[in-house]
Amino acid sequence: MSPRITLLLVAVLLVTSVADSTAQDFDDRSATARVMTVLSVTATQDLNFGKIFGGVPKVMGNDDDDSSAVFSITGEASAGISVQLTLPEYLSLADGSANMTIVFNNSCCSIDTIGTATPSTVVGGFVDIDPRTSPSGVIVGSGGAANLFLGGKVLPSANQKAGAYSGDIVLSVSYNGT
Amino acid sequence: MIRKRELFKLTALIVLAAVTSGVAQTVTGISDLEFGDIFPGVPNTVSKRASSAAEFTVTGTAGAEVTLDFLLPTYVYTTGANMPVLFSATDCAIDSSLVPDQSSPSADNLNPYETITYRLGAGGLSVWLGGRVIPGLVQKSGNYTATIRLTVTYTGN
Repeated sequence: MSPRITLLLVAVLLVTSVADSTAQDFDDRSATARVMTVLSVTATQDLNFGKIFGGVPKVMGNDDDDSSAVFSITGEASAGISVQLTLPEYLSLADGSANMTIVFNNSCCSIDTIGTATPSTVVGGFVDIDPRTSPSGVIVGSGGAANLFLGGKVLPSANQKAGAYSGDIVLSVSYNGT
Repeated sequence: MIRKRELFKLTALIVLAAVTSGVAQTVTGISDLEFGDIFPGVPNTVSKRASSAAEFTVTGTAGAEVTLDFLLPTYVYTTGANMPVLFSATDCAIDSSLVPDQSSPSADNLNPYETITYRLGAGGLSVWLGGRVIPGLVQKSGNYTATIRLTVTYTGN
């Protein structure tokens, strides 16, 4: 093989090599997200009817600072949330030997979306609403807190068995993405 | 038998072909895939049509065929926590038009997990990618991130 041919072949190999080295490229970008504060709810006060007499119904309002049920919610300030209450139909003795009817009317719930109110001082948010509905527009207050207050009514029978009755009231909260 | 002069010509053609095919393909990341503010327990999807979709551009010789390969994350991360990020089989779109149109791309609903083969247009290629994050109910708050890599390879076709 002549030197000229050899040189040309070398040139071909070099150019091919250069072509290969530039035939691929990559670049990176990122997937990013900012996760907001975890939503939490705490039952801070029970709905307490106190002493009940057989055959005498008793109502507890949602505005009693000492006896209304209080749920405290914390989360991302001003974020929209959904609230859902699961309410009992009866209160029961611990041993299950007796039940007592409990009812909730359509105005026994209030939601404080300011986050600083007590049951007796709710002015912002939702006042005297049906606890079975999940109103739209509920938000965590600008301070990162909200509260839900609940009243109710117990209907003891005339011969209601004596004892301490209880039932679970469950509040579920979730972000709705607004 | 090939004579010397013809061999020189042939060699010159090979060299020219190699030089022509050696035009570099360049990929540039233009924008991140931004999920924005995410609430724990609330999944969020970014469409490949959205301004918050990831965008890459590819430049090179018009008409040249290239392959596109994504290296996609399974999670986005923050200190001490991660969060699943998913890509569907239709989350990618590309457009080889001179004026790329994200709202009506020339190739749509492409699977970013598979190799995508396409020809560069006069303006190269624009590539968009959407995705979805799945935060847990008690997902730790913070800024999450992960790398999306796009590799472009010239096929020689």
